[in-house]
Amino acid sequence: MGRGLLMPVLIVALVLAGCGRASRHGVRVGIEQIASIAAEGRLMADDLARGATKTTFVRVHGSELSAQAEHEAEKLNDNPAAPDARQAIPSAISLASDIGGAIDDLRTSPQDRVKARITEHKLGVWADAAAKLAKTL
Amino acid sequence: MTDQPEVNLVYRILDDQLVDVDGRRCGRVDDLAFDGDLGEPPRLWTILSGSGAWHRRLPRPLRTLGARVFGSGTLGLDIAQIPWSQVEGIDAVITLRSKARELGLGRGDEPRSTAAENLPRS
Amino acid sequence: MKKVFQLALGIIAAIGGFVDIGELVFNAQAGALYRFRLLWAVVVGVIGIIVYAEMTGRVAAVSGRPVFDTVRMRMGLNVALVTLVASMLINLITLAAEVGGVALILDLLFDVNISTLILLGVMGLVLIVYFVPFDGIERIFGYLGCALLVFVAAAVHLKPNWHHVAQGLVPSWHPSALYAYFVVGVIGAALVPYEVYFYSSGAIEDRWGVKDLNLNRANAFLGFGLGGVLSIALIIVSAQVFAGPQIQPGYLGTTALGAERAFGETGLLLALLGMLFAVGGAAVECAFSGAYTLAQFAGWEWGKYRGPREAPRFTWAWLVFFALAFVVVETGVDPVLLTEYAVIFSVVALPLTYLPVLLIARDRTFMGDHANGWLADLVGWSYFAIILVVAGAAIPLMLITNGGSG
Repeated sequence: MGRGLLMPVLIVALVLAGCGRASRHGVRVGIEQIASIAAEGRLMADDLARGATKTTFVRVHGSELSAQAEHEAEKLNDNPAAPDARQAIPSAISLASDIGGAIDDLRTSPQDRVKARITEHKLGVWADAAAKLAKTL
Repeated sequence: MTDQPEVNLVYRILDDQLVDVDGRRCGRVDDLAFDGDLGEPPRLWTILSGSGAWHRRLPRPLRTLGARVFGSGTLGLDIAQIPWSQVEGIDAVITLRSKARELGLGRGDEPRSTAAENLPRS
Repeated sequence: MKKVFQLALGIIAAIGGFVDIGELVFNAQAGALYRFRLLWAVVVGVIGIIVYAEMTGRVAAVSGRPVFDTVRMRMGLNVALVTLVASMLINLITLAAEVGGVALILDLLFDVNISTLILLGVMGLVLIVYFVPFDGIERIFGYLGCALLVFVAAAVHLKPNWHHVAQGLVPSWHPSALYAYFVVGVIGAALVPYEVYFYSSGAIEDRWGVKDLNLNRANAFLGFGLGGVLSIALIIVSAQVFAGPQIQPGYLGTTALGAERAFGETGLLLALLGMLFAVGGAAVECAFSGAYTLAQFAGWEWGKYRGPREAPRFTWAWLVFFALAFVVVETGVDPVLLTEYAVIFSVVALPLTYLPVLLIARDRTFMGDHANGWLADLVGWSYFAIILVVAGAAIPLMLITNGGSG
């Protein structure tokens, strides 16, 4: 490939890679990620409720997941979204915040199995809600 | 024709590993030097080993940079000459008749080098 | 029993090479996204690495030449220099990722400050590598890494539809760039060059000769075969646990969660233990590979068997590699992301590593009666064609799929 061709190809590739305004697709990917975090948090909560996990694991992996939920919410908030994707963003940010908070609750008191079961239920509901929201886009 | 077996120098010798009389790896055949007058068949005279030989083999535009990075070929500093007569055998490696130190090779790997002295015993 | 211990080289090379931090996450993602539809790519990759590892081991045993020796001899100084720079860079990125991975796994086990764990992880690895003999290193990381077999047990325990699993082993195609990216990643990760640099130099460390050719074959088939089985198990577990709820695994913790879902805390602990030693083994392989390539390119004395004072430049090389990796990972860069990029970039360097191996392995001047037969030649060239395709497609696919994130 000549040098003249290389630059345009790289630029097109970078644009395809998601630089610039968050497209409908980009917003959907972000919300799917939030749904994924909730679903994973739910599995962790279930294991915690069954006494089938390790406290350090819940604390450390839980902090990774809640930090990612926060990060996804920030991304949705900060990137100017395409007009047809804008209406989903406030609900998505609210879900991300609830999900991150619930996972943080698991980390705070990993010995509380009853609370873990309640959190598991909540995370399941939010995971479904986020997945449905993503499908609207 | 001679009784000596033919050896393809580039295929078999160039870039091969040098091993001294004690079995220590002590460099590579980084270049070959020939002598002989015009009109006479050239004779392999010496093996050049050391990073100072590399820049001459790089593509032309990179040679100046190569000399700066790898050394420009100062004898005894970044390049050593090993007379062809020092070659004992050509097998999986090129074995030499003398110790690496005597040929000016493998200085950085000598047990009394600074590099070795600064390491704890294992 | 002695024979079993002699398989350690293949096992550490395969477990460290196959199931390093990138694979632990990459395979989990592959299973979550495509269930069993990428299993065939693992098989293609495994056969490829078995073919080439056997060749590199055979070349090392018969001619005493490790891989980088053949690169320098067959491809000349210039190509060898390019391969050296590329492989050192890839080794460093991968080593940083593995060191980061070791710290992350220790964190999941002990919940201590991550910076402290990075330092402890590097120090622990350096001390083991410095003071334990080569065969001891092989055994520590190879056999303790076998705790990862918990994923094989989990794959069976989670009762996948074996008919679908079998269908996944048959090559198929899915018309999307992301799928192609995963195919390239899975095949490329199986063939990462540092595995063969380590394996062939390890054969010389273990003083293999012509009498050990059967041992080489057994190491290549069983060691890398085991790596392949583990990769397949990771994909199956992930398909069973994460595909349904549409979880997108992005952390080592997520991979471990798969084993926890099957066997509770015991499964989790075994998974983390296996991951710790597999990733630690990969770190050792990367550091050694970097030092092997540098020493073999320049003709320095090398080898753990020589001892630090007999091969000081080689020893300093791997020590410096660990130090640089420590600095890179302390910057806070995500180790998982780092290793995925390292895999994709190393795919581009694959042809430069594997062509000289093939050329020497079929050359009767160097190999005598042990040169490739027609079958090894046919398979070797066929795989080289696959390597060229994979190498050409890697970077464009990485850009188009935004590094696999869709």
